[in-house]
Amino acid sequence: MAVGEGTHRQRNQKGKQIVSFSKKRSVGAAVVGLSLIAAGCGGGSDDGASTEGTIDAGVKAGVEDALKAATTVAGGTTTTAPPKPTSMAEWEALWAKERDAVVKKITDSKAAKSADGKSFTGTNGFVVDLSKCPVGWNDTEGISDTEIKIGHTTAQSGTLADYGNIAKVMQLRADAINKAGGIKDSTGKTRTIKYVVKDDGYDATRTIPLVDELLDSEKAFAIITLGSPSTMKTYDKMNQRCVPQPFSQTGHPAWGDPDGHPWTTGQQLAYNTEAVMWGNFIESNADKMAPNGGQITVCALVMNNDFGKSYDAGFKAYLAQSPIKSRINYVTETIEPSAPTITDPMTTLASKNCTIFIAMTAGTSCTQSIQEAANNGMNEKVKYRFQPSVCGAISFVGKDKVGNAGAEGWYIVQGGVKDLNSPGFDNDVYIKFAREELKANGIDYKSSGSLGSGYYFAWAQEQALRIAAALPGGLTRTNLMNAIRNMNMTHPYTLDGIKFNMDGNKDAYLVEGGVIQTRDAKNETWVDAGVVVDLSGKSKNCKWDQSKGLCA
Amino acid sequence: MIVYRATGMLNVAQGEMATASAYVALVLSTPATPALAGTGLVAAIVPFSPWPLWASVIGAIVAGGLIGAATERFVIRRVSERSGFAVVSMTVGVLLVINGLTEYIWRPVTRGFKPLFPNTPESFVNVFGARLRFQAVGVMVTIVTVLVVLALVLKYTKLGLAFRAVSCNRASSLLVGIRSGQIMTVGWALAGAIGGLAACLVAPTVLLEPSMMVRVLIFSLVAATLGGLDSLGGALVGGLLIGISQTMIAGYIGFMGSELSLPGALLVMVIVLMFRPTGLFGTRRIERV
Repeated sequence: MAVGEGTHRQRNQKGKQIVSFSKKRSVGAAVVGLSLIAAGCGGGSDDGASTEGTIDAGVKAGVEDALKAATTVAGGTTTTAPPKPTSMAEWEALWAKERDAVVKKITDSKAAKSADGKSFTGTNGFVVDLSKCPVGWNDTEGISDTEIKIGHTTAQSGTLADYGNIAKVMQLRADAINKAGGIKDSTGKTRTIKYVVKDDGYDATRTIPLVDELLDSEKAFAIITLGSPSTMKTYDKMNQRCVPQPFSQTGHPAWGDPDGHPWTTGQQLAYNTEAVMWGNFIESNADKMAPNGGQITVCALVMNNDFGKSYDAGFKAYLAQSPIKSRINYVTETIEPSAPTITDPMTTLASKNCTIFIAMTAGTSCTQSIQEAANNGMNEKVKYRFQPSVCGAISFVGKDKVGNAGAEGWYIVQGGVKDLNSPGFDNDVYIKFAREELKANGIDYKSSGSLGSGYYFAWAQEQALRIAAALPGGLTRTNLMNAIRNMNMTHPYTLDGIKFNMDGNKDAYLVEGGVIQTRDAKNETWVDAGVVVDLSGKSKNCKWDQSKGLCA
Repeated sequence: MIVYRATGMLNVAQGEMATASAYVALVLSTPATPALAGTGLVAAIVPFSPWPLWASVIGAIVAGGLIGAATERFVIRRVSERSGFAVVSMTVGVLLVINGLTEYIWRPVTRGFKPLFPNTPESFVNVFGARLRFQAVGVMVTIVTVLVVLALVLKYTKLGLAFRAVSCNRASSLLVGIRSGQIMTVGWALAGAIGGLAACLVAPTVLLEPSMMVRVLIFSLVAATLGGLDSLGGALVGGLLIGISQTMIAGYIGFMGSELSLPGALLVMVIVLMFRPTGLFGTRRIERV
């Protein structure tokens, strides 16, 4: 039995959350797979160095630990999970308490700039060499006594324009924060948030001049970028200019580099971690897919940009150390981000007798891959079909997009966040709040899954600004980055069990967990097909080598 | 290309006009919902709405025709006397305006579009192991039918003769009594209508969003140039050549991959044009000295 199949059936019949019986079986299968990984690694591979890089051992060990813990829960051991807030007021109180704790941690660490202003020593190893910043650099550029100006490049046009809804929600949340009194500073000032949003159409060549405009003309306090290619093309410049590039809206592992790129952070589950979870799934189900040591063909459609390549590199790294690598035949076809259709590469993959198909794509091609698989026979022939985490939104996999059969039976590594559209979250306090706020602003919450992502990012940004503003010296660029790199809070939009934290230079990723889910097309939602795995603090920092396309 | 054949002008906004028409079809065929602008208005004023898909596509064809006619009458005609470059520049402006409007009205969200032909997982025939889907067959048959009818109209009717006269020499056609303004409007309307149909055919595959046809524009321009800008059959052959070249290059020349498949196809076009500057089936222009 595949991981999650039993779980899925139980859910369809009962319409409820995970049934422990199924969880046991799922976890059991996963743990068996992990033990195989461990055995493979422990036994020493004769493969030697791989051009695909090496897998993050911390992540792998973390998966194992998490699944063991989950097994214990399924086995009946009682756990004491903290009570969840039952109203927005309780949430606000919890966040205020958590912010205070972060402020105390940072204050106690005596984080401060050096006397000559040439360096900033933050908390838990976070250090910034300010002497390399441009002449005339200002720690408070972009903020006035009354306003914080934040730049944002995003896709409001083109094939990935749906992501523009993230900016829409961020603006909506900023308006609400401003209306409620803005961001109060320890220096006594109160500021509103002003967004300056620029449409780059998910085209990195357009992002570059737009970032220049935000830096030089708008003089933004911080600039948020969307997409791996756009962020990759600008993060050297942002760091040379010593301007925060927080909460980049992409899961590329390169954003976990506090030494080389202290001004840039991500927020999402890193794509290479997601690739580890794919690999783990394959190993766990290998004998079911190909009994008696048979060959497994993993087919992938890879978007030809930094985004797709990071998935590809992460998955190759996993395969390179896999104990069953000799059984795995990895076949890829690439697509250009601007390609109008993906029929050709999908037809080619359909001829490869794939055991598993993984779409390492984004935007319109997510939907097209589901359509093509239904049309070219892969739905019947390929046992497991995976969408990437970025394609989970209903705007990509909804029935109205992919046809009546929907995306039924497709799998996904859900990046640890809730689904604004899922009926499973109808009673979730924060989801209800988000839906009502959208409705009050004339927006149908079902119109785009990216609206939920907007809440995911907007919440983090608000908390970071509030923490930084509460620090000694008030809101500055260095305080903002130190605040983000030491956040440890309960994100209302992440799944239960997923931590939202960084720890100076020790832990450079905010979200490091997820869960494998499968599509329930009838109810237009994803349902868990495994256990939530949290790898907080397990991922190694990533100094990205662009020439090799992997973490150095 | 139809505009070029009928009026001697190149319209790069054709795709955006078609996209707007496809949105009209979507609105006409969708029950009133706040998620799609215009459906409430349609439900209130259009009888029997939501319309079935086939009727909505006819609505899109009509809308395309109106958009084309209006574009010619109120925008293009004002610069058409200046130069071909001015017209192309103006159509670039029209492209941007329509693209902006569709984004503003219908938001930059990818939307599903029901296919005109059977498209269940079982809707295919096996041809030597390959699946030939009814949807693909239906699209191809429709395109060929439209092209044949259009070719007949252009070749054997007075309207077609007038088109050719205007595109060949507008001043002379005026002298012999052809109302070139009306002919141009009809030409643009015809192109807009066919564009609307084409967009409805391609939308289920490419998926409907405001920039849907921008992605197709480069391929269509290359196909038309390769086949010959004034040849309907040439455009079809050019499209097939470019599509097949691109696929085969990526599939059989391993080192080129998907990155170089389009440039490779474009190289094919350049080579052809070096020897046949008017394209494979384009008409050679002869100037009387």
